[in-house]
Amino acid sequence: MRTFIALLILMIVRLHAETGDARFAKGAAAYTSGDFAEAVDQFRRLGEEGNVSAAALHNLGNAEWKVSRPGHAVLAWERAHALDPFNVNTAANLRFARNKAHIEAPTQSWHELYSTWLPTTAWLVAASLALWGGVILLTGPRLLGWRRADWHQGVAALLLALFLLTLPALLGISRRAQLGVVLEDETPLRLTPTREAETLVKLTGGEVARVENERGDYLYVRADGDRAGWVLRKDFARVWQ
Amino acid sequence: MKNQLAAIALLIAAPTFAAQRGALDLYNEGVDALRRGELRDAESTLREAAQTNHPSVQPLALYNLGHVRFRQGKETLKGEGNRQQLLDSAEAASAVAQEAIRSSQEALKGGTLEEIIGAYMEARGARKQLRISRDDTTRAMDLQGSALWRWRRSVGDFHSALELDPSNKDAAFNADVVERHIKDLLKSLDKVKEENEALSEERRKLGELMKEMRGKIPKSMQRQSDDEEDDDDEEDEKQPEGQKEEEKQQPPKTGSKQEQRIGGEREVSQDMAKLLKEMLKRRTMQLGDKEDGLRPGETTKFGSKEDGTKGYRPGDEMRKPGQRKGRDW
Repeated sequence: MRTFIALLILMIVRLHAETGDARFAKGAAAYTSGDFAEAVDQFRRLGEEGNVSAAALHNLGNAEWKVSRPGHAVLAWERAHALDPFNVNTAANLRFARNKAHIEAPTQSWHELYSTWLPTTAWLVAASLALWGGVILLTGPRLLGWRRADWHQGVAALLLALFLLTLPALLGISRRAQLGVVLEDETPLRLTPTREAETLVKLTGGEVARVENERGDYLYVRADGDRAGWVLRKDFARVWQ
Repeated sequence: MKNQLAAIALLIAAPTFAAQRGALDLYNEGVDALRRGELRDAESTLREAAQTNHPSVQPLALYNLGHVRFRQGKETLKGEGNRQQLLDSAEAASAVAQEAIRSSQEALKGGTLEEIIGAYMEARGARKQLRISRDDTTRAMDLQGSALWRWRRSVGDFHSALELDPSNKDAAFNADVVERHIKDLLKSLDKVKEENEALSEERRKLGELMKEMRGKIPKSMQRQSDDEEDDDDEEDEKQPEGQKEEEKQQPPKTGSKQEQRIGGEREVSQDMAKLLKEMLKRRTMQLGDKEDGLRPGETTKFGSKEDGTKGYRPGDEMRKPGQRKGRDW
């Protein structure tokens, strides 16, 4: 019985992976053959099915750009960049899209920039290992009756220092979670979260803004240049979801 | 311990209280400005109050903003004067133009040179009158458009206030009232627009007829700039920005009104046309003539050597030979 369940789980995992690989290949083939709308569809479904990867998001961004949806393209590239900050192609695409639309890159605080030095998962793993490693090395000898050694304390101090170094990055990650992308061109930035609100200014598709408040169908966002106001949820998407 | 907890609670709540106070202060300032009738200040302060996103201040700020914008629209419309009078004078100018068109067409069909000149002068006077009326209607359209924008914004503000606070029935009522005003204004705007288009069309027709008549008048009887003078309005529109700026900087009203008045009176008169026709043979440049070279009450001829020393006043530039538009026969 145990073997059967193990085999079943293995089959499901493999099937899932194969479906993901097949869809990725389909999307890539559609993109290569110039069927960008189909490529967008395949890469999107890949994400919806839970097979999120930096490569798939990068390709989705490229396909969205080709079907003239710069806001959606920037969103996909921003997501890819968040997962894999070392991918030079994604960074180059983001720069290209911003130059094309005359948009400034979002202004970030030092801890937000610091948090981009490593992928998010790497920061989380480093923080967890450093904290728990340090705690175990400090408390282990006493609780488990290990023989005390000098290196225990030395490594524990090193790990706790490492943990302290990850703290600003974790703060930066939580702040970056408020960043989002304007999806459509000419998105009105409203004075109030109402249907007939006065339009303060219009935002360009692909602009990055920070969410500061939420009310009903509206998000209160602040874009570069201290332009703040309400946008409809459907016109804006957070990079981290 | 209790004191410490209270202090911590106060520290945490202080920014919230400060934000609320800021929003309320802005709102009160805006309402005061509205009471005093300082609409621009009221608008900017109430907008700021609405922008604070304070849940209890925002709907009230929007409601008052609706009032401010409605009143701003009304103030704007005060500048347009009597609407009926404007339409009446436009219609009168149109009637004169129709008559001039008819005379011109008849003269062109086989009239004598004298008749052609008479019709030409009449057409010129009518065309100038059309321009004045067209400018008036354009100005009225601009003002009404501006008021319309403000009233539409006012309706939006009242609706927004209602959306944020559905119990505010006054906002719904006010929005209906403003919408009725908008409806009336749109009707009026359509009428003025129609009148404006008709005037422009008649001016165009008259312009064409005048060109045709000019072709029938011997060159020897025309001055060098006669080809241009009938198109003075177009010249006005086409003149370079620099010159327009120059005119804006001058105090133009006295000069230009005077010029139009003198030209208009003289040009529509048939007797004057005859007299001028007689003068055509001996006339070369008429700028120094008493009729249009001098300003009332002045003895100095503009355009003479004396200009630089006496008789010069700001506004006289309007009458410099190089800039002067309306020459006569």
